[in-house]
Amino acid sequence: MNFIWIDWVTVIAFLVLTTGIAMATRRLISDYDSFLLAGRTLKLYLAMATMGATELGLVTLMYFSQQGYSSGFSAFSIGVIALIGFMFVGRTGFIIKGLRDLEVHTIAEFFGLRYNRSTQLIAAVITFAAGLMNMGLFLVLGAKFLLYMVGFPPEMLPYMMVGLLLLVLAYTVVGGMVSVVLTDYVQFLILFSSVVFTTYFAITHVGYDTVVETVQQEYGAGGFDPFLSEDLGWLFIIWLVIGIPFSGMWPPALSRALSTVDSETSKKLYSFVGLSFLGRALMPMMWGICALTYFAGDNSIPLPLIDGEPDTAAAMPAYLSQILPAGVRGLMVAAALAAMMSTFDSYLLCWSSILVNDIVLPLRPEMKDSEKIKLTRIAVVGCGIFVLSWGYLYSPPETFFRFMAITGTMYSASVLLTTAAGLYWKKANTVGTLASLVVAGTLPLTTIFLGDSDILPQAYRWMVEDKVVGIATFVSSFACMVIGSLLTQSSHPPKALPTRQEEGITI
Amino acid sequence: MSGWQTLWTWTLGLSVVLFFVVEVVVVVGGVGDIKDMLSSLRQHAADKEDESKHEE
Repeated sequence: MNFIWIDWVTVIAFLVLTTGIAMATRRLISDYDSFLLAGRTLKLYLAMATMGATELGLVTLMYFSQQGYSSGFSAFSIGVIALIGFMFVGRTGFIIKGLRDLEVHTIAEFFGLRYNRSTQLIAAVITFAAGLMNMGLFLVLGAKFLLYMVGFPPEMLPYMMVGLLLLVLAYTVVGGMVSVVLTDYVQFLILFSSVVFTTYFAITHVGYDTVVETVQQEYGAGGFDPFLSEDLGWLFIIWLVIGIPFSGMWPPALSRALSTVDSETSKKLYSFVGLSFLGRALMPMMWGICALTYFAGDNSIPLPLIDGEPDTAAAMPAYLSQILPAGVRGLMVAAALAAMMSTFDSYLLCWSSILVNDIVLPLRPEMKDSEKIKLTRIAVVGCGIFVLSWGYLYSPPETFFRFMAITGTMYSASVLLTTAAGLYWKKANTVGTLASLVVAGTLPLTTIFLGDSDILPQAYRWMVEDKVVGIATFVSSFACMVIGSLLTQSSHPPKALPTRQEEGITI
Repeated sequence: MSGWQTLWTWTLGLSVVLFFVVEVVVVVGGVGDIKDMLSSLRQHAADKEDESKHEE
C-alpha cells in the first residue's frame, strides 16, 4: 500500500465536498431545462471551468501518458493540433454558433429541424453508439490508475470499477447538470493545480536531459519528429489535421456551448479554454515519457505487465506512485477522482439526454418534464452498466488514444460533417445526409472490431489500420454528402432551417 | 539539441504557462458566475412554484 493517513484524509475530504454539493443542489431542479442544461445560465468563466474539467478526464491523463510512453515527444504534435483546432472554432464559431443560435438541446435535434425525424433518429443512434463505445474504457482506465497509485492488488480492479461507477451515478442521477457544473468548478481547481504540480515532480525526478537522451535511445529521430515516428507518421497527422474544424465538438463539450447564455459566449469559451488544451495533452504525455525514462533507466524496477506483455497504460501511475511525496500523492488521487467524475458524469448525462431527447421524445412528444427527468435518470444508470461491461470485455488493438480517435472519427465524419453541411450549404438534403451518416457511422467499425482479429490475411491488414480508415471515413463521408445531395435535388429538395432574423441565420 | 527537441521543449514550457493562466482566470472569475447561476435557478424554481399554485 502506497497511501498513508494524509493521503486518505485528502481523498475523503474531496469526496465529502463533491457529494455534499450534489445533494444541496437538488432543490434547484424545477424542470427539464434546469436538469439538463442548468437552465442555460452558464456564463463564460463557469462554462470554461465545467468544459475544462469535463475535457480533462482521468481517461485523458491515462491515454495521453500512454501515447507519450509509446511515441516520445512526437506525441506532442497531437496537442498542437488540438490547440489549432480550438482556436479555429473559437475564432469562426464554426458549427457551435449556428447550433447555439437555434437553441437546440442536442446536436441530433438539429437534424430534425434541417432534415427530418428519421435522419434525426439515425444521427442520434450514431452519436449514442460512438459515444458509448468511446466511454467504454473510462472505468477500466480510471480504476487501473487508482489501483497503481494507491497500491491495491490487481485482483481489486473489478471492485474498484464498480465502486467508481456507483459514486458517479449517485450524484449525476440526483443533481443533473447543476450539480455537474458546480462539482466541475471544484474539480477544475483541484485538477488543474495537481497536473502542474505532478509535471514538476515527474520531470525533476528523472531530469529533463535524461528524458531527452532516453527518448533518443528508445525511438531515435522518430521520438521527436512525428512524421518519422513509427507509431504516428504522415497518415496519422493528416487524419488529425482533417478533424481540426470539428475540434472540441464531442457532444459533452458541445453541451457546454449549448448551455451558455449566448453564442458569443460559446465562441469565447472555445478560444480561451482551448489555450489549456495544449497543456491538457502535453503534460500527461510528459508523465508518460518520464515513466519511460524511469523504467528504462533502472532495470531493477519492473514495469507492470498485462498478459505477460508490458502494460504501457499502467506505466505512468506506477511511476507516479513511486516518486510523488506523501500528501501530494493523495492530492493527485483526489484530482484523478475529480477528473474521472467530472468527465464521467457529464458523458453519462450527455448520452442519456441524446437517448431521451432524440430517440424517445420524437416517438412520444407528449412526455412531461418530470417523466423526461425520470427517464434520463434511468438511462444514466443503463449507460453506466454498459460501460462497466464494455470495460471488461473489450481491449483496443492500438493505444487507448488511437481507440478514442477512431470512435471520435465515427462521430465527427458523420454527424459533425453533415451538421456543417446542413448549416452552411444550401443544397445539403436528406439523401446526401443519410448516405454520409451511414457510411461514416459504419466504416470505423472495421478498425474497432477487425483491427486486432486474424480474420483478414496479413497482406490486407493495412486496410483496417486506424489511420487509413480514419482518412477514408472523412473522404467518403464528404463524397457521399456532395454527390448524394447534388443527384437528388429535384426528388428531395433541401429543407430550409427556421430562420432567426435577429441572428441572421439563413440557410 | 535538434530543431524538433528545441521546439518541443519550448512548446512544453508554453503549455504549462497557458494552463496556469487559464486556471487562475477561471477560478477567480467563476465565483461571480456561480452566484449568478444559483440566483437565476432559485428565481426560476420560485416562478415555477408560483405557476403551479396558480394552476391549482
